[in-house]
Amino acid sequence: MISCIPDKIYGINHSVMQIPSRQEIIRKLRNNNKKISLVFPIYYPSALLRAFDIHPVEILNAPDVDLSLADAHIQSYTCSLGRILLSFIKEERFQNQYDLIFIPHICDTFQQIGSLLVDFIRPSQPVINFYLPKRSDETGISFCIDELKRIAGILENVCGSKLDIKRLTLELGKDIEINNLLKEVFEKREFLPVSDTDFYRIITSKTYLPPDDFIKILKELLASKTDSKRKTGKRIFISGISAEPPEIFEIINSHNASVVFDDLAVSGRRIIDFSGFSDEPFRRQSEMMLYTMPDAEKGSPIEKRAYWIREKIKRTGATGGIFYIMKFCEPEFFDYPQLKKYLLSEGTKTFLIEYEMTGKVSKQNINRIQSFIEGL
Amino acid sequence: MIIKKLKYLINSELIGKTFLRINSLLEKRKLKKRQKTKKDKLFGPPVYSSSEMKRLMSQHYLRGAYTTKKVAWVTSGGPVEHLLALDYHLFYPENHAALCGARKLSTELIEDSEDFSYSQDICSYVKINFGGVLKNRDPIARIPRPDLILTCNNICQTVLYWYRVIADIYKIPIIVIDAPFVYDSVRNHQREYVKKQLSGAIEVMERIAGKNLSEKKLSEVMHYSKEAVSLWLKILMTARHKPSPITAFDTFIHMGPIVNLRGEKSTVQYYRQLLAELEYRTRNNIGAIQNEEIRLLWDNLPIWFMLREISTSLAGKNTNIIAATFSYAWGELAPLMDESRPIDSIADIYLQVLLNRSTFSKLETFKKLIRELDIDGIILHSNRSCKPYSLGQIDQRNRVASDLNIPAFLIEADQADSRDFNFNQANMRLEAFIEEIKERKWKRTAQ
Ligand code: SF4
Ligand code: SF4
Repeated sequence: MISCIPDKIYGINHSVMQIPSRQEIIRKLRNNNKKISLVFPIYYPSALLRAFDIHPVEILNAPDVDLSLADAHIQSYTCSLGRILLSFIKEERFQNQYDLIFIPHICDTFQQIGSLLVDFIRPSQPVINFYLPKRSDETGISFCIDELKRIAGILENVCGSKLDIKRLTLELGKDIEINNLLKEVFEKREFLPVSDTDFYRIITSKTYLPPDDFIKILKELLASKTDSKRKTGKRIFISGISAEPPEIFEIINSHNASVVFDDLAVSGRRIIDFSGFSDEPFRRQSEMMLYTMPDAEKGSPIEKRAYWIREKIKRTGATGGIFYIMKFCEPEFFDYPQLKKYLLSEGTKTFLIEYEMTGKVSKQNINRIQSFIEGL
Repeated sequence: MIIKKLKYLINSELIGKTFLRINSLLEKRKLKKRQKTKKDKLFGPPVYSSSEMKRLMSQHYLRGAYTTKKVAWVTSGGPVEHLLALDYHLFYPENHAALCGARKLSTELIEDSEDFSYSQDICSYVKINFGGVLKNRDPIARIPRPDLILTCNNICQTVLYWYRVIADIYKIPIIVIDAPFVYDSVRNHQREYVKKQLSGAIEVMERIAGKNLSEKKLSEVMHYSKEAVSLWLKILMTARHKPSPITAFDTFIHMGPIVNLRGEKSTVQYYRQLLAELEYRTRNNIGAIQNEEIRLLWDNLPIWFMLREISTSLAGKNTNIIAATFSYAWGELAPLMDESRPIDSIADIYLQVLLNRSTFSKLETFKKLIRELDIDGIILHSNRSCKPYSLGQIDQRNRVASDLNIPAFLIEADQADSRDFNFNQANMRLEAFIEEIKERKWKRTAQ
């Protein structure tokens, strides 16, 4: 396994600075003739891809991408994430960076883009569409198993090699280790000497780092735990798909508040609070996607989602929450009003910010965050 | 319960039914006598069966208002056959939202739901429904409160998010039929998945209905469903005739029963009547507009609040939108319905509805309709509300234009939210589009 981060042990305060960027990881893997799959967030069978020696890299943002490339195929009011991903695929300078495109159908936007890629755009790399079941019960799990087996068949064709079940089991084991470490990291969040921005950067580096490197970083992070709690000021949580650009945390911090937990699809929501994983690898891979925290994308009941957030509030003492939702992201918008009602009934104020994923947080949103925090 | 039943009998079956019958007769007479205004002169004689359709639909809403049956809210693409066989009263929020849009009653409801923090980017059908639910009012009819809701995401994921909210507000059971997206053909594991969900759903439906499903009733419902859908397809295909006896705008209105009342005998009877009328018109060369020069295809949902304005403006340019992918979607799967294998055939049908198929498959539908109906151009409504219908249209437009040399025009609007729509601007662009088609046609004949 290639390690993408330097061998030396980080002093936690500057280690974050040394986590290589997505582009650096891609370059390093490319130089070592590793296969890379460009993956659309959120839920996808990471271990299965890795079992074929394909390293998955999710793209959460690409500020320098030319968005007009997507406009040739999808309406410009589509969510920025969809437009960024499609433009990224179309942009020539990125095209030698990956060998495969993997698209989980988590919403209508990705479903349509997945279909457009196969039907009309036809990039030179194979495109694999994966239907994420919208139910997490036994019926959903067993469909997911069949769907993963179908995908394994495609990967066998693409890679020209049979799936090695032992390798799949090994990779799944790493994901379980990561999940356990992540749980611990989130629990000890208050004792870790990193800012909210750095914490987010560390957690979301999971979207592109090789698992062994990510494990190493999480272990170092935990080793840096202090005995005293960090100063938080007002305690809030953040919810949404992602917190891009991460500057949003600096804005929150600059108003004497901290994020004590998150319900972000690329971060806290990926944690699996379940320990009875199956030994059968396809079932285990399915469980690892469908047993993550409840959300609209998986069709979870809103009450269940509200329960999870309330439990977190109780544990962390958050007094308010920001729902930071990308424009045109229907799945995230839908739950907000009901969640707001549930949370307010127990005294937690919430507030919705709609944003476009551009390089900067808008002035108007900065002002709105400020007055929300002041009102807490 | 006895009082409720009595109320139902008096209000719906006695007074309501009689009133609606008389009203329908009067309406028919009015249609026949209608003095032609300048606008009317652009069109052929009205479709007289419309009065019967209005009666059927009004009766359905009236029954819903006083019903003593168990009520299920369902999505338009939801498999409803078992619910009907279990005697549920079905309410379709999408159809109701379309009615609000067509009667220009949607803006207030949309704004009401935005007051409750529902984003401007959420589908306007949803917000019309939420506006009514959250403010407990309705401008059209008294909406029956659901005992159960059934959502099938074969039309969009939106309906899944939508019904989760309704289930949460009313604290009622929700049946989710998760329909995986179909690329080329239905895969076995996709079919098995839907079948498993349907079997599980029947138990819930039976429990709430308090009775067991009768196989005989189910096959009767499927029989009527199949017949209604087949008749619907024939109705749409009368547009082959030149001039077309029907406009796409007519089909948007006349599809009411196929969405709301498929599986019922009255729907079959109604479509037989409508088909007979349209066949009479084709035999006698009676067109839906007076001078049909240009024949267009419409893609996506209608702009409900602008039906009259757009159809009148086009008729003034001797242009008829004779068909729409939206209304066609209800007819194309009729051959798959098979009473002898209910669960299998229901799974196949509901998996393959137009919006659950690939963007390429939709292009194929365009091509088929263009060929069969001799279409001169396409208007693609880029509908801000409906992502699954709209994302893909740009490539589809380009391909239709390049493969078939058919001009295609993308118009930005929303199915039911009129707030950002400027008719004059859209009309100007439409005019330019029609001119382009005319010029092409003229050049072709001159060659
Ligand atoms: S709509 Fe939301 S969930 Fe879907 S791609 Fe856009 S940001 Fe992601
Ligand atoms: S998103 Fe489209 S298919 Fe879904 S409910 Fe809205 S209009 Fe209907």
